[in-house]
Amino acid sequence: MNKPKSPGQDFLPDFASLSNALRIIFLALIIAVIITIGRNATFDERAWQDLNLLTAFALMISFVSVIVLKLAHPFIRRLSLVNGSIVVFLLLLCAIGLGTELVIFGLYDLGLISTRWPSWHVALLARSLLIGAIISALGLRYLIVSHRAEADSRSEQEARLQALQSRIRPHFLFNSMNSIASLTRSDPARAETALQDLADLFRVLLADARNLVPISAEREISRQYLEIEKLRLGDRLKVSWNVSNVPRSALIPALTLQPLLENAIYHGIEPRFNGGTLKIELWAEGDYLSVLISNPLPETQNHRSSKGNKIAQENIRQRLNTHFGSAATMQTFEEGKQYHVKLKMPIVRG
Amino acid sequence: MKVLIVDDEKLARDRLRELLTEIGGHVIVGQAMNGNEAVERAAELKPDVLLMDIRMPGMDGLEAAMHLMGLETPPSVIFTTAYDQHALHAFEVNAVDYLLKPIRKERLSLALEKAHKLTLKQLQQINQAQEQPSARTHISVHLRGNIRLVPVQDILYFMADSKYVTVRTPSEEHLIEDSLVNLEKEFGEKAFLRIHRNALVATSYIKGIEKSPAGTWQVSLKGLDRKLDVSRRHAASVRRWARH
Repeated sequence: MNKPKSPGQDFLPDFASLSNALRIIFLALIIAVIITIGRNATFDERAWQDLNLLTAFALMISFVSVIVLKLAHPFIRRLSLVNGSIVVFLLLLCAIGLGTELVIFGLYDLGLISTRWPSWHVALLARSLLIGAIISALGLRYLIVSHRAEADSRSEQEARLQALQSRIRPHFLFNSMNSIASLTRSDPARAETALQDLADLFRVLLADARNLVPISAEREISRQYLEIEKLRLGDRLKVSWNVSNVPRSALIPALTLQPLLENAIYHGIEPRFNGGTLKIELWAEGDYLSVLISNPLPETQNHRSSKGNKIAQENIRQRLNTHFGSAATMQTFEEGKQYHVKLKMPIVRG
Repeated sequence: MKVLIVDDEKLARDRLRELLTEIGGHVIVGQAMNGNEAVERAAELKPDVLLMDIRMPGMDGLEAAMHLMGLETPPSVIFTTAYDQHALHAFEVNAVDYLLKPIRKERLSLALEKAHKLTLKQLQQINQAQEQPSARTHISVHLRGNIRLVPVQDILYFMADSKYVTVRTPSEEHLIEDSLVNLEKEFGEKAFLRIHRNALVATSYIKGIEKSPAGTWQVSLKGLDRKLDVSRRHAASVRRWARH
């Protein structure tokens, strides 16, 4: 699948794209106007002449800048934000120096000045460079910020979609519905319970997951989720809970356990011929709550698509970080033929 | 029609069985819980059509369908799936029959009436459309109209002669119709290593690489007495592999 290039890969905008080139030229024209206004008290013949000269000068410098940036683009795009900005800034200074020299050479060539090295040569160069440096820094900042704003809004939309899909795995939803459809004939009572469990689970999945909830509520939703999975997987899924001395009122971020259990089943239990045991351990140690979720690894690692795993884990990592900062940790590791996820977070009481 | 039901979930199999009974006119000849079983049962029970889930433990439905192509009269295959965005698109494009779970009776009935036989090309295109096109987990060997599945992880080497490719496991030898070029492409540089124009060996079985008295390089494999020759052209790449 050909995904659009993810934003963030390019820290710097393409300075030489048509729209940015036009922006640079427009900026140069504005500078010419500003300097003209600054140098002339009245708007007379002399001011017009000034404006013409300065416009030609500014256009020359902006054209040279765009050409230099265009040539350097393949090299610049590989640089980081800081290095790239510095290189672009230096390139612009060179372009300004070059542009100024070209203007002086042009004036000499046209016979408007008598010498290639007039007395005001150095002064003009210094002033151009100084003005250019300030404008370049401001312009660069403007282009980078607008580029980043654009990229941010794009990645935010992508992130929202991914967060939603990591919560509701369609594979699970439709398989569960198929199981329930099957049960309505053979065991209507179980079908009813399963539907209620599914409804409860989805109510939580669709709710705002930014809150802390009592650990008992999170355990209940996990239990209901596992009941539905047991319907589908039968005795291929065995679950072992081991909970010791965890205060009932302790709070954890909503949807911390369930997505990890779903990962463990989807990637560990379900691809195994004979399934396996999903182990969930919860214990308190001092002021910290620990969670350990373990599942056996599949016999064959040929299963397609493993992306969902990382999204759900990343999501939980972010939420732990939001609530507890660096006090909470999440580790994943393999040990023999077992895969473990371990969470540790400070105990917060409701 | 004779139907074989393939799904790893019991309730899903039950539901298909009930729906088929209601529709009537079909005989359920058996059921299987994964791709390997599906291929074995199909070879033995000779169904007209398979109703087969895609995501199953071990060999998945797509690979099983590929192996079934080797049967003398391959059955039609109707895939059943809960959700599989990449496969679904590929099914649409290649006009492959599929049913979405929860399965509706009318759709099932209709699908059985117009069930198509698959072609190898359709299957290859579906595999290509997956997020990660995967290599087969088994090689199918055809013995008098029957299919024998050889797990790829048991294979010591593939050796080509003029017409066939020999597949060697620690205990057996089989002939398949395939080309080393295709096999090398499918199983990649990681699991198998080309040591000769006519030989592809499993890297996990390589015991050592040594120089023969004649001055050529040879590879010795676990569970195999004879040594395999490394051609001059492949000596450099084999030794590069050995250093890693």
